Amino acid sequence: MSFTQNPSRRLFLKQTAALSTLGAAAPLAMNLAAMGSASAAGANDYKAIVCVYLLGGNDAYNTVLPTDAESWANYTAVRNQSPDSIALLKDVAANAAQTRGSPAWLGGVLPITPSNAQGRSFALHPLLTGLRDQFNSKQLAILANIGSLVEPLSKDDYNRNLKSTPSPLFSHNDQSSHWMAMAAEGARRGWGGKIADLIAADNQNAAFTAISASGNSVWLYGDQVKQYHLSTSGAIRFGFRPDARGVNLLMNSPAAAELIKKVASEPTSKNLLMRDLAEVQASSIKAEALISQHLPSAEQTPFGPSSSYLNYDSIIAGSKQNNVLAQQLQSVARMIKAAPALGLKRQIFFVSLGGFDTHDQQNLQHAERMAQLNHALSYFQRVLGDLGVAPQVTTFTASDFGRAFTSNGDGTDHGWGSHQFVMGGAVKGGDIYGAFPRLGAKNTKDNGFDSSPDQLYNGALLPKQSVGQLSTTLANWLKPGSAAQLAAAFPGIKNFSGALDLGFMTS
Amino acid sequence: MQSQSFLKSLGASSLTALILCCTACGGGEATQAQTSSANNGTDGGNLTANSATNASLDGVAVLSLAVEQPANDQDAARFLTQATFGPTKAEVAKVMNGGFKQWLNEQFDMPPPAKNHLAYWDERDAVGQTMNPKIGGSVRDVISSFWAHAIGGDDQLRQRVAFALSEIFVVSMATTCPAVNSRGTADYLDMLGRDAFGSYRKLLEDVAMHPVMGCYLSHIHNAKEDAAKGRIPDENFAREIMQLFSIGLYELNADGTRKQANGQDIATYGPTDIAGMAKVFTGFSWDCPLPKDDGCFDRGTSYATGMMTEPNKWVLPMRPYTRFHSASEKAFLRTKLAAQDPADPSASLKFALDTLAQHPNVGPFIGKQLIQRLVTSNPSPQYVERVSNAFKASGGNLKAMIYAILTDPEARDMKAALDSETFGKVREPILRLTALLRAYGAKSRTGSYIISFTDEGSYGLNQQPMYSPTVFNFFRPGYVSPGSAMSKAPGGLVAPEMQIVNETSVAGYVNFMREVVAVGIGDTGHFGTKAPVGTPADVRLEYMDNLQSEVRTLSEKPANLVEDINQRLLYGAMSDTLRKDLIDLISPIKYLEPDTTQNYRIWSALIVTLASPEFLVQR
Repeated sequence: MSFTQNPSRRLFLKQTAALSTLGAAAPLAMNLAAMGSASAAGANDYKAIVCVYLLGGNDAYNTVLPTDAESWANYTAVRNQSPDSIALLKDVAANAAQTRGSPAWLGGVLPITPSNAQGRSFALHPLLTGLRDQFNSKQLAILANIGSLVEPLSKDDYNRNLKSTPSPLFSHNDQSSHWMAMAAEGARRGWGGKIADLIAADNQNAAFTAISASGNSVWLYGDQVKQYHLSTSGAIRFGFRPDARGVNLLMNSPAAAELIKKVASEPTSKNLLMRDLAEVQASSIKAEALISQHLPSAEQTPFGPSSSYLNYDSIIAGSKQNNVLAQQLQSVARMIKAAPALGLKRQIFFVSLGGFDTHDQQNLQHAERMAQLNHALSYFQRVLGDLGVAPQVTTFTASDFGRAFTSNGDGTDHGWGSHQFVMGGAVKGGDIYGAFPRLGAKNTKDNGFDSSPDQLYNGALLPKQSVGQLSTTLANWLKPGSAAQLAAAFPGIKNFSGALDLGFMTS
Repeated sequence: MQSQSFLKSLGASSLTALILCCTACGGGEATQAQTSSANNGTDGGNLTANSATNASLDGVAVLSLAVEQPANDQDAARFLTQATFGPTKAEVAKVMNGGFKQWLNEQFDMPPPAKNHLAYWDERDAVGQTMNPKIGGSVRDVISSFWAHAIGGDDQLRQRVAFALSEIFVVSMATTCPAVNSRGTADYLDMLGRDAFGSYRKLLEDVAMHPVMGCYLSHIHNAKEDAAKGRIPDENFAREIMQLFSIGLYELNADGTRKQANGQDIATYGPTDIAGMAKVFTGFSWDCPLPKDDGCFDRGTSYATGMMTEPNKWVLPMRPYTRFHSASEKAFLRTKLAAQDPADPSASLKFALDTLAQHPNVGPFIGKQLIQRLVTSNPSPQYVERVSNAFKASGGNLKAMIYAILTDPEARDMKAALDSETFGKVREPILRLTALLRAYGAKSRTGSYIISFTDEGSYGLNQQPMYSPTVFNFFRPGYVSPGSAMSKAPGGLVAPEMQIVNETSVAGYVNFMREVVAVGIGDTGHFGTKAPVGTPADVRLEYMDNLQSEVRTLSEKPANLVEDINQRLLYGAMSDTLRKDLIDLISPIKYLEPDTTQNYRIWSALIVTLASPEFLVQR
C-alpha cells in the first residue's frame, strides 16, 4: 500500500469510496444473483419498523392543522404575533415575492380528508405534498395528540397534580428519553430494543436486529440486543485493507492487520471502560466482515444514483441540497435489501433529523425541516415499493415533544403532546387516529388556555395517546402477541391496558 | 488504617484548611477529613496535604487536601494527561521539578496568549481576503485556532479548562448562527479561557451576554411579553441556563447526590420558574453605534445613522434595551423581583444571575462535570464534596475548583486508579489526537495548524471542537451505554464519552489515525485554493522530518521504541501483553532502506497502541 501525501478530508472520502467499491466488487456481483432469489423467496417473511426521529421537538401545531372555523380562528389569533407571524394560511397560492419560508411565501396548507374526520376538517403543512399524496393513497396515517405518558390524565388531574406524569416535562433530553425508553435520561433500555429482544431469535445474525443509521440511540437497546451502527457509507473497515489476493494489510503487514484486531477487541485489564470499548471494536470488526459483502451499492437502482435521488429543494439555500435524512434512509433500504442474504427476518431501524427546536426563525427553519422530511419519506417509500417490500416495512415519526401553542414572536417553546405520522403498505392509511385536540384561545390574565380541555400552560398539548400504546401496536404487527411482553417490560404501559392496539395497522 | 497514616501527614497548613472549612461550612469538618482519606491508596507516602493558599491562588481559600508532589515521571505524565491536552517530555520535567502546585500556579498566572482565537481568526481572515475577497475567515479558522492552541500553546491548563467549559456552556458551529458568525465563536472560546480561573458568577454573566450564545439559544433581541395580543418571551435560554449552565434539574447535596423528599427527587424548577426567568432575558441585544435605537435591538444595525453596524457586534457583550425588557414581576426559584417602573434590564439580570450563582447546586453540579471532563467519569461523592467545598469556601472561584479537582487524592492516587475497575474516562476523540500530536512534537509547517474538519464518524474523529450537535454537548454527563459492563456494575455508573463511540466511529478513528501517524494531518489548501498534489500535510510529527529523531533511533531496538511509546502515550502503564505484542510485531519489520524500516516500525507500533483500550481509556 502507499500513503497519500495529502490526507485531506476530500481525499479520505475518495479513498473510502474507492476502497469499498474495490473491496466489495467481486463478492457483490456473485451475491446479487443469490440475493435476488433469496429476497423473492423471503419477501413475505421479512418485516421491519423504522423510527424517524425529529430531534428538538417538532412543531405539531404547524404540521397537522385543524381547519374548522373555531380552531382556525384561535390558531391564527395565537400564532400571529410580531415580528414574524408563524400562523400558516389557508386557501392562498404561494407567493414567491414574500419572505422566503413565511406563510405567504409557502402558500396555503394542504387539505386532507380523513376517513373519520371527527366532524372537523384538516390540512398538512404546505410543503408536505408527498405525505399528502401518501395519505390520499392510504399509505400514511396520522396519530393525533400522542406523547409520553405514565397514565391517562385529564387537564384537571394535571393542574391538581393528581396523577403521575413523565418528569421532567418539557426537557429535551428527558422527554426524548421518555419517547424512546419510557423513562427519563439515563434509561438503560428502549422499547425498540425490547421489541428487538423478542424478535432476535428469528434472525441468523442477531447482531443486526437493531440498527442505527444515525447516532447512538437508547431506543434500540433491549435487555439482550444492542444497537449496531451502520454509517451512510456502509460498514467501515477497521484500519486494514485487503490486497489484490484479499489478504488484509495494515502498514503493509498482514501481521499488523491481525494484531490490531486482537488488541482492539481484547481488554488487557479489568477496567470496565476498556471492556466496553473493546466490545464495540470487536463488534465493528466482525460486523464489517459480514455486511460489506452483502450490502448493495448506494448508487445502484433503486437506491441511487444519489445525485438525483438524495437532493431536496432547500428553502434556506434556495437550491438542491443533500438530504441527510434521505441518506440515512438509503442505508436502511440497502440493509433491508441485504437482509435475506444475512438471514434476517425482523429488524428495527433508527434514523434522525436535527433542527426542530424552533425557538426562533421558525418560519424558515420549520419549512426547511418539512421539506427534508417530505422528501426523505417520499424517497424511502418509493424505494421500498421498488424493492417490493412496502407492506413489510412500517415507518413512524417521533420527536422530543410537540411545541407550545403560543408564539414568542418568531418561534415556539417546548410543549408536550404532538401529532406523528405512520407510513407503509401495512398501515391503515388515510385516517387520523385519536381524538384531535381542540385549539382554544389564550387567557388574557396568564399563559393558560382555560378554553380548551386539551391545552395546558403556553398551550402545550396534554397527550391523550401514549408512546406505550404506539409501541405495543407496532410490536404486535412485527410479532403478533408481543404486546403483552412489552407491557410487562414497561410498567407504564399497563395503565393503558385494554387499548394497547391503536388500530392503525392491518394485522 | 489508611486514614491514620494519611492524617499523620497533615501539616499545620492543612489544619488551617480544616479550620477554614469549619468557619465556611459550619461543621462536619472531621467527617470531611475522614472521607477524604478513605479514598487514598495504601502507599500514601507521596501524598502531602496542604492548604495551598498563596499568591497565585490570590486569596482564594483552598480546602482541598492537596497532593503536591509527583512520585515519578509516570505520575507527572498522568497528571498532565488530566490537566493538559497531553503530556510532553518538557512538561513532565517541569512538573517533576516544581511539583503539581508550582506547575498549577505557573499555569494560573500565565496570561491568555496575545494571539488568541480572535486574533488568529482575524489574521487568517486577512490572508483569506487577499487570496479571495469573497472568502474570509470561517468556521475552519475557529477549529484550526483551537488545534493551534491545544497542540502548541503554553497555557495548557487554561486552554484545556476552556475546552471543558465549552462542553458545558455549549455553543456550536453545527448551527447556522455561530457558524456564520464564526468570528464571534472564536471570541466565545477566548472568553471561556479568560474566565476559566475567575469567578463562576462572572463566567455565567459573560456566557449569558455573549451575542453568540444569544443567537445560539435565541435570547438575543428577545422582546418582552405582549399580554394583550398573547406573545410570550422566548423561554429557550431561561430553561437551559438553569438546566445546563448552573443548577440542573434536581436539588443536590454538596457531594453531587440528589436530595430527596418522601423518596422522590426534588425538582429545582418548573414551568412557571422558566416563564419568570424568561422575562429576565428580554430586552438584550447587540451593541450598536449611537443612537442605540430599535434597529439595534432588532438587527444590530442602527436605523438612525444610515444603517451603521458595530463591526464587533458578535464580540461585544449584549447590552440592555429598556423598551423591550419586561417590567412585570419576575418570580422563580422561590424568590421574586418586583415589577419595575421603568423596566430595568440590568437589575433584572443581576438579580437572576446572583440567584443562580448563589444556589447551592452550582458547586456539585459544575464541579462534578469538570471532574468528569478532566479526571474520571465516576468520582466518589466525597471527591465531589471536597471540590464543592473548595468552590464554596473560595466564594465561587473556578480556580479553587480546578485546583481541588487536580490535586485531590482521588485524582492523584495512580496505583488505586490502575487497580480500579471503574476509575477513569474514555478519552474523547479530540483529546486522543492532541495527546498523540503533543507526545510526538507535532509542528505546523505554516504555523497555522490547518487541521480543519474531523467531525465525520466514518473517516474522522466523530468530533470537532465547537461543533456539538446540540446544546446538550457531544455526550451527556449521565450517559452510560445500555447493556454495557459499566451499566451493569453497581452504583449507577456512567461513561459519557461512550455516547459517541459506535461501530462506525471506532473504525473511522483508526483509519484516520493511520494516516496521521504516517503522514501527519492538515490540508494547506484554503480560501478556495487547492494545495498542489504532493504538498505535505500541515501538521507533521517530529519523526517525519527529522532523520536523527530520537524516536527513529529508538526504533532500531523494538523494546526501546515500545517503552518510549509507553512513556509518551500511556504514562508508563502499558500492560505486559501489549508490550510483548508490539515488540513481536515490529521486530521482524525490515526494509531495504533503513528509514523505511524505522517508518514502518514506528507507524505499526503507534497505530496498534492508538487502537488499544489501554490508550482509549484515561486512568
